[in-house]
Order: sequence, then structure tokens, then C-alpha cells
Amino acid sequence: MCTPNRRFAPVLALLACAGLAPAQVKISLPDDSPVTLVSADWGDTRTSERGGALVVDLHSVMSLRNTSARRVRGLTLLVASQEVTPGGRASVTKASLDVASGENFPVKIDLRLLRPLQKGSGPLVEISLDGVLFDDLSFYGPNRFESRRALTAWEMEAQRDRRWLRQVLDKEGPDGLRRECVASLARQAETQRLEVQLARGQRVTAEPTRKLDLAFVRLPDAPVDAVGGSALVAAGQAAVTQVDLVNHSDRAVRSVEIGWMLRDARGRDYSAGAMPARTDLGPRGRSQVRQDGQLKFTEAGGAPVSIDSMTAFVSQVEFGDGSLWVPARLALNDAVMRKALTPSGEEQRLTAIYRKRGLQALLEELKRF
Amino acid sequence: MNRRRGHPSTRKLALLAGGELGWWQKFALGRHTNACLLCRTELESLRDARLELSDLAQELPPDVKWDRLAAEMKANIRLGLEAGQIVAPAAASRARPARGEEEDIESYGSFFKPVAALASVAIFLYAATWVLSTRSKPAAGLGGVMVGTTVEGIEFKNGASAMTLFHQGGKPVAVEVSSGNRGGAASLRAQYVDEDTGEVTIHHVYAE
Repeated sequence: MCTPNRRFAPVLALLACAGLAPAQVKISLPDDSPVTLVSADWGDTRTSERGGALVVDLHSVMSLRNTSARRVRGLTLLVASQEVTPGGRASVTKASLDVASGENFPVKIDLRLLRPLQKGSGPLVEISLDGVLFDDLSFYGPNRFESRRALTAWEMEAQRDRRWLRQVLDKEGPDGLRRECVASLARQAETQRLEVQLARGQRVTAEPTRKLDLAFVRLPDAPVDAVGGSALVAAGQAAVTQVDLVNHSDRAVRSVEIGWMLRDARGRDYSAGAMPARTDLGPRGRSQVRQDGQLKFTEAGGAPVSIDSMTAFVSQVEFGDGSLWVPARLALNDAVMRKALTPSGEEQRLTAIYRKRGLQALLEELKRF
Repeated sequence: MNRRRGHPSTRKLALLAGGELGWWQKFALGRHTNACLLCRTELESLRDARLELSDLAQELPPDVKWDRLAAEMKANIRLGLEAGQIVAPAAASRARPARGEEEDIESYGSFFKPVAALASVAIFLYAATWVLSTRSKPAAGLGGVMVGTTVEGIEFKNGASAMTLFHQGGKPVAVEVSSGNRGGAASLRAQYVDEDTGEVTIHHVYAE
């Protein structure tokens, strides 16, 4: 529905009922950006009033062109709306790309903004570039929201899993590759996931809480280990008070990502996501990280998860020089880690090709890059 | 369910189980069910079913739009009543029971029936209003700034403002949540793989 808004007249006068005028969406790409905007389709982008709120539904498919000489592997666009949601930002990342110089690729953004009706001016939505990752793992961009770490980690995992599948193909042939794909798809189907919310800066829950000592799993080649820690848990909620870390390497560590596994009162294990945390961890040093705010875990139906135990493991390490460690594929030989480690986006993409288009399509895809 | 003559109907027992009868009907049916094993058993099973439904209601997702649901329920009830008014006279004239066949313990006189019906409707509306107003309150500790996954995607909420990034085509394959230790932004990231196009998309919301 689209209705004119009298109180928001200065802005909404510019918004035709047929859709949000592109003038209200500002797209900023730096002059030396390795990608340029070719076109933007705003589809059925709309603004409307619902009760006392202004709703902006933004649906856009942008076509970007790689104007650099290198192949683009990933890209992050920032979406900000200080006018509508002060303090709130979003980003959309495309990973596992293989865009050659001069080629176009699409980026889709489906966004809804909601705010109480009041006067405002300026663009409602600003889209800007936060980073581009190339095939040689070099990076371009302001990196205001740590796109570099995220894009690099995803690309390293993607390269690891492509290499692994090629090795399986070389050693065991097409039948071996088929078995590996089936095993991966079964693992993906078995993984139980939860709805997660993080609430920060609020009063402590009224639910009764209990202290829970965290359990830990160590990945075989991890340079940093989680060795101690605790959380306060209530029905479906947890606040991690601290996690103790030990650096086994001779390099300084800038940040870590801690993966979570959660077991409910009925003994079901869930992959409960991961928590990145900045830390000053010197060579062979010890440090502590904590999670501010409360995590809320619910099942698909909305029922809170009765938390029986929480297991932590270090799933990613960023060293002081910006280089990264991600788990080796061998970690998946361990039954516990198979449950804990979510298959990478690339592994899921490749197995989806096998499932949807067959083994031959996967073989051709593995030859591409 | 067919009831034997001389026993209250299942409908009456259901109203009794829900505490929605007038005091006189409640008294009369209470006396009967105390003395009748058949009716007492059915009354208990109706009470159990009511409790189960109540438990199920507690498990409904928190993002259910209760106001909208309440409006739809009221509209449906109104529609049902109107439909009933249209159908009832015709049905009654076609299939009026033989005198005495249905006149059992339920017969309390023509005066009390509309009073009891009005009282039941009033109690139901009061109970529904109370339940819905309770439901509308946010859970403890979950107001204010929040990032989270939803059925449609991921969202950032700050009071009455919200930003939602939608993703069509399944749940995220991986989720990462950060409280933004050391002054950073609290954030939530969700990774999706489109099985048809093979595109890997990562959505991220930040609360600074």
C-alpha cells in the first residue's frame, strides 16, 4: 500500500507512489573503485504508512562491473539509514564470486526500514562500498566494518574446500567425489540451527539464572585455544561472562572468532553460531574476552531452548599482521567437530550444484578456478 | 459427540471447563458432574485439552502480530455470528426436534439463556483482552537495541525503529553474532546459499 504522508511531506513529496525515487537512495562508490554501477532496478520499492509508522520497502537489483584488472572474489556493500534507524547499519556481501575484468555481476538488496512518523530530510538510504576482495587475496576499500577479515576468511575456506574436493577426485575418482558430496549433504541436513537474538544495554532478565561452566573443544592445528569460561543462563537465554584464551603461537593475535555448540535438556546438539571478539593476545600469551548483552536462542517454532551445556571452540584467528587462520579440512574427521563446524558457503554451493545439476556439472565447476 | 438424554451437552461441558458459565448453570452442572462419572470424565478431558492449548499458546513465536491477530479473530467471530443468524432460523424451521427430546438438564428457562450468553461473551472478551494485552508486552530483557534472526531474514531494532534485511529462499546456513566488545558495534551476520543460482550472500546488521 502506498499513501501520501503529510507529516513527512518534505521527503515523501519526492517519493512517487509508484515507487521510491532513486534520488532518495544515494549510491556512493569511490572514484578509484574497482567496481562501477552499471544499472539499478528499484522494482517495487515502496513507502507507506502503517499506523503511526513510516515503512520503506526497498527492493533493488544493482548491476556492478569489475573495472579492475584482477578477478573479484567477494564484495561488501554498506547500507545505512541514519535518517530512519539512527545507529543501525546493514551490509550485503557477495562471496564465492569469480568475476573477470570487464564482467558484470548482480547484487540484490531487499530491505525494510521502519520508524515513527516525523519530519526528515536527505536520502533515506545510502549505499556505499566497504570492500572488494580479489583472487590474490588483496583487498580494496575503507573496511569500516571489517569486511577484509570476513571476505578473506570466506575465500580461504572456499579455496580449502575446492582443493579438498579436487583431492578427493584425484584420489578416488568421480565415485569418490559423489560419496563425498552425499556425505556433505547428509551433514548439512543433520545440522540443527536456532534463531538467535542479541539484546544489549538492557535490564537483566527476570528469569532465574544459573552459572554454567563452558565446555571446550580444541581444533588440531588451532594457534589459539579457549581453555576456560562461564556463562549465566536462563530459559533460552545466555550471557557469556568470560572466555579465557591461550595463544600457542609466536605471533600476536588481533581477534578471534569463537564458535558455539549448544546442548538442550533433551540432549540435542545445535550449532549456535559464532562470536567474533577483538583481543590483545601477545605471543604465547593469555587473555580474556567477554560478550556484552544477552543471547536468546529459540527453536524454529519460537520456543526457548532449555540450555543444558555450552561448548566453545576457536574457529578463526586474525594475527596482528592481518593474516588469518581457519580450521583445516582434517578437523572434520572428528565427529564432534563435524557437528560444530558449519560447512562453508563454498562447500554448500558446490554440493548444491551436485544435487541440482549432477556430477558432471560439479566436475566442470571444479575445473573453472 | 452424542450425549445421552438427561445429560448436559458437550458444548455446556466445554463452557464449564473454560469457566464461562453463569453461576446458576455452573452450580447445576457442577452438581450433575459430581454425581455422573461419564460427564465428570468428559469434563476432565476438556480441561486437559484446554491446558494443553494454553501451553501451546505459550510457545507461539514472539513476533506474532497479536494486534492484527486479535482484529482478525474478532472479525471472524463477528462473521460467524452473522452467518449463524442467517442460517439458524432456516435450520431451526427445517429440523426442530420433537418436544421434550432436547429438554433435559440444560433447560433453565428462556430468560436465563440470553443472560448467560451475554455473560459468556463478556467473560470471553475480557479474558481475550487480558491475554492479548499480556502478549503485547515485550519479554524481559529484550526491549531496546536488539539484533536477531527472523523468519524473513535478519533485523536491527532500536525502540520503535527497525531495519530488516530480507532473504528469500531458506534459512541462513551460518550465523555469527557479536556483542561488540571493546566499544565495537553489536552485530549479527547470516550466510545464505541460493541452491538455484549458487550465489553465496552474507547479510549483516550492526547496532552502533
